Amino acid sequence: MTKKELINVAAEKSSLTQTESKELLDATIDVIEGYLSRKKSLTIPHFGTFDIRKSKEHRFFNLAKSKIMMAPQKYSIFFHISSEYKDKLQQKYQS
Amino acid sequence: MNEKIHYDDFIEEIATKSGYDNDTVREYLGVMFETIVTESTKGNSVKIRNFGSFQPRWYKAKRGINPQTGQPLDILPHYHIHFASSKVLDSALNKELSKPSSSKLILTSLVVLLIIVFIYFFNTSTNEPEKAKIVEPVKQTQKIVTTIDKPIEPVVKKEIEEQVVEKVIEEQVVEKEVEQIIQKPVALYPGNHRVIKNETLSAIGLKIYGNKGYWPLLFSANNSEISNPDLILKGSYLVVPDKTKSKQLYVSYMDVHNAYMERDFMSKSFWVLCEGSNFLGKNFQMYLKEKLIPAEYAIIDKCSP
Repeated sequence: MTKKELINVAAEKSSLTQTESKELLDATIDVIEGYLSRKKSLTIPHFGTFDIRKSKEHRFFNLAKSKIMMAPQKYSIFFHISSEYKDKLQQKYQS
Repeated sequence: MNEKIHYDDFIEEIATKSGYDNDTVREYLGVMFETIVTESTKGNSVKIRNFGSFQPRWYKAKRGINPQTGQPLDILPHYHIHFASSKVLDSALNKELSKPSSSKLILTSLVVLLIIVFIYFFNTSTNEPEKAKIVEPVKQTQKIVTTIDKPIEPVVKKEIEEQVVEKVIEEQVVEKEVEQIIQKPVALYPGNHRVIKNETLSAIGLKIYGNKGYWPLLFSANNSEISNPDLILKGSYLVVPDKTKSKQLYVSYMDVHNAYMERDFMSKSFWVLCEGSNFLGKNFQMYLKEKLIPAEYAIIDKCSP
C-alpha cells in the first residue's frame, strides 16, 4: 500500500475529502518527524511506540572490500507494536 | 530514557498545524492507523513517502530463555512488524551529528584561503621596496633630463640603473651568505650525514656505500663522539669518510673491536662479513689470527653489493 492509497482509504472511512485527508496526513508526519528529531518518544494507542536509540562509534568488517572500517555514531528509530496489534497478527497466523 | 509525549498534546499540535478541530483529527488518526493495521495483517507492507514503511515479517519457531526465571521457553512462529525509516527521516535525526564535519570543512578551507592570500601579499610586499628603489631614481633623472639637453639622457639613466642593480645584487649576496650559515650540512658522500630516528650505523652504511658491512668506517671516523657503536643519537651529524682506501677499513675494524672489548661485549657476535664483496681480503683474516679471535664470531652474510 502506498501513501496515495492510504489517503484514499482513510478519506472514504472518515467521510472526508481526499485533499483534507492528505493535509491531515502530511501534518501528522511533520509532527512525528519533529518529535523524533528532538529525541522524544511517542506512543500511539492500539498501534505502537516510536522510540529512539543512539548507537556508538564501532568497527565492522566490510565483506565487499574485505577491510575493517569505522561506522560513525548515529540515531536510529525503533518501532514497537502494541499488544492489541500483536494479537491481531497472531489471529491471522491461526486462521 | 527519552522524554515521552502525551497523545492529547500530539493531537493538539496536529490540529494547530492543519487548522482542523481536535475531534476530527482524533477520528482521522484512529481510522488512519486502523487501515495500516488491517493492511499489514493481510500481509502487505505500507509505504509512506519521506517517512518509512511498515513491513510484516515472518519469524520461525525457536527456543528461548525466560530472562526472569532462566528456564527454557518455546517461542511460537509469529508475524512481527518492522519499521524501516526513510533516508529523509534519518538525515533529520542525525542533523546534529553531521553538522560539525561540515563546519570543520568550511573552517579548513577558510584557513587555507587565508594562508594563500597571506603568502601572496607577503611576496608582493617584499618585492615592492626593490621596485621603489629602481623607479624613484629614474623619475629624478627624468626631471633632470627635462632641464638638461636631450643627448645626455641615456648615459645618466644607465649610470643610476647600474648603481641600483649593484646595490640589489649586494643585498642578495648577503642574504645568501646568511642562509648558508643558518643551513646545516646536508647528507653528501663524502661529507656529513644527519642521523634520523630508528637509524643504525649499518643502515647508514647501506644507504651511503651500498653495503652494510662498511659501518665500521663510519664508527672509526666518528670515534671521538660515539663510544658505543650500538647507540647513536638522533639529529647528530656523522662524518662520512671515503671508502676507496682499504687500509682505513682495517683500522676501523680494530677500533670497533677495541670499543667492544672495553665494554665486554666479546660474547656478542658482531663481525659481519659480506660474501662476494672483496672489501675484506686477507687483511681481515690476518687480523683475526693476530688477535686470536675464533671464527665463530665472524658471521657471513649475503649482503647486496
